[in-house]
Amino acid sequence: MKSSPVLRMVGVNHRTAPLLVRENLAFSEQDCAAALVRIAELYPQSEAAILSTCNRVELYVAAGPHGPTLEEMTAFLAEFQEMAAADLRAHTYQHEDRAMVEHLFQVASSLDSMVLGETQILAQVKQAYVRAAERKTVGTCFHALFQRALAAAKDVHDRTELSTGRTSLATLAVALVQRVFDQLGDKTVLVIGAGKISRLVLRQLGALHPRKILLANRNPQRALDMCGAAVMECVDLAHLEQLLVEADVVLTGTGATEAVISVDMVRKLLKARQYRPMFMVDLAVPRDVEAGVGSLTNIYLYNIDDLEKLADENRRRRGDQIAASLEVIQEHAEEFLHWFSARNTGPLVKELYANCHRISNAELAGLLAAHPEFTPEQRQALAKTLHRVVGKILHQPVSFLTSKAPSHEQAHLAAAMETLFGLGGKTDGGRAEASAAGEKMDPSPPAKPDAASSS
Amino acid sequence: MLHDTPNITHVEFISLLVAGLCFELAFAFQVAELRRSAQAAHGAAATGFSGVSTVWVMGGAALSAVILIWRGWRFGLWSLPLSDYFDACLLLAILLTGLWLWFRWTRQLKTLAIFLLPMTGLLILVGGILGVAGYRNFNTANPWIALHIGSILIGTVCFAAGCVSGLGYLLADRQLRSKKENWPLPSLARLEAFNRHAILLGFPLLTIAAITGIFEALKYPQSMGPDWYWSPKVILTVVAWAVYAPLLHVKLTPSFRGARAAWLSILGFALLLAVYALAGFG
Repeated sequence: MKSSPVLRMVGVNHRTAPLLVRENLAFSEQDCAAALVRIAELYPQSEAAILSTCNRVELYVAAGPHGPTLEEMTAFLAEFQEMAAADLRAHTYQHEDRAMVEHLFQVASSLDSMVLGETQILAQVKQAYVRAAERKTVGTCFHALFQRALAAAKDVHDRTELSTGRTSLATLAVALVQRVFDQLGDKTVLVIGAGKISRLVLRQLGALHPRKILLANRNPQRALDMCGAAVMECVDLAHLEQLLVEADVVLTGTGATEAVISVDMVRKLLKARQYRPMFMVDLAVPRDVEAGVGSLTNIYLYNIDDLEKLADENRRRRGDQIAASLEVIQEHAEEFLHWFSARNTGPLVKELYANCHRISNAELAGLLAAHPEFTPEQRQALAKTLHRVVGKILHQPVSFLTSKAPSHEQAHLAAAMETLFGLGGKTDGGRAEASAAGEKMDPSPPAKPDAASSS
Repeated sequence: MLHDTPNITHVEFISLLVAGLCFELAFAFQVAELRRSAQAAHGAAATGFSGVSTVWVMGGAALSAVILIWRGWRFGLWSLPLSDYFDACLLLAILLTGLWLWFRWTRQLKTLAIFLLPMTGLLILVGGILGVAGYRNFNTANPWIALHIGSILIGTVCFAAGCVSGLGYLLADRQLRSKKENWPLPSLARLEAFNRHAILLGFPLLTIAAITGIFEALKYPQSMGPDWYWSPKVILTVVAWAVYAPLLHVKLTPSFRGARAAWLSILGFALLLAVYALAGFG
């Protein structure tokens, strides 16, 4: 166990640290590269990766011999970004071993994100891993850990509905438009006013390539400046009725204190529009479109409250998926920890089996030398029996050791085994004698420490 | 206690009930599938019920085909497995299964397939009742009657598709107005276009069926009586024809679009079903 790394992480996120702290601690691309290089210099036998997004900064380390402690990791972050360690410590969280693995998997699956179910974090975790791999600060352990984290996140998105349903108002509005019109290639979009959300919606609608986008604003030039190339034609708001006849999708977001579009106005236009469907999104507060407009034939009206309610509903649905997502994460965490445990204890178990078989072979050699009358079949049967006895005696302690996840308890158990069985160079007396005797013997069936460790 | 009649044996009747049960079970599984997928926005979720409902539908259609072929052999009508209303209902059920499969394989219209299953189950039931009620040979050797029945059958499939898309439209419209995301449905524009195309195909066939029907009534006045033009069957057919006519001319009658067109296509199909019921029992 002397070479087994300890998995550690230290970080801050949107729940534990205010924006100011996160801003100060944020790592740019260059910062990450420099920090990873610095860690590799300070702790050459450790693996490291840094995840830095607008909502979190986390340092992951597989600490080898003389690797950094949690305290040293916090100090490193503070020092690198020229912060007071005490200030940073007040906002950090720390995890080790199993807790660290589960945390990383939850982060990658967006269970720890501000917007539950968002998929951007998956790309950010992948980026952190690739960046560390490029700097050669990840080894066998972190390759396996991060690849498993990415697989876990994809599995969560595939097997649960954590990422289904839109939660941003702009994407919701566009999705609603698509519930009325299949495609916008022959449709006209009318934008009245040019608020922030209107611009976001317009940007997304623009990606669907509507036939025409009309922008009606009291100050057309200002609107054009704000919306830029997305707008194809600026029109005068004075001709609103004419514009409403032409439009198929209407986005409104003016600062007017009274409704700009009334029920009577739209009712009067229905015939001129040939009763074509019209989808209206009223993003203004107070409202630009009278609520009654939504009851007219083939007219569909959503205001900002309606969009908020839909977004909330989708958020609630996503929230219902947390338990299912955690189950998926747990499966992946168990598989990784099992691999990690076997990897840590494998050499120890192998040595234990080898020692015991050497001793039994030495004893068998003495017995066979004293009884030359034994037939080859009897010798073979004795050798097999001894081999089985060794396997059965070691099965229980080895299974117990390998069933433990990497932890302090496992480390203590491994140390006790080393001492009790004289492994890892703790004692050489009996082993040399047994080894010498064993070499004279016919080779016994090979021990299968890997198989035993995985049982 | 079932007794064989000249038209239908009790084996055929029981087989028919089993076929109907297959369609109802398929409907139940498809409802379960839809409920599951409705939990995710726009039908992202896949469930194991999809394959199960397909198996039941195919089972029902296969059994219907077997009954139809068996009856064709029994009546010596190998040229066309169609002897009376019972057979017509079975053939229609098979044609609607074809339409169901097409809906299922068309990603955008997949959800609409569910509406066809109760319709098919109902047809099977009506077929069974008509089969027990009595036998009325269609005399399909007469080309006019063959054309009359053929255009009715294919036209009915078109109008069923129109009715289904109308139901889908009303549901989608209701969802949009209630401001909830429940069932994953195609866009209103797609549903409306599909509805129009279905009626565009069905309307000429209905017209052919009406003309050939009138021709036969004039040629064989004893078949429907001297006042045939006042029979409920004829009146309802004319009403159904008049209901569908404005849906073909959206440019001339723009107010007959959207939800109104959907309601009319449902009404037209209901009238046609009433015509078939009157024809069968009359």
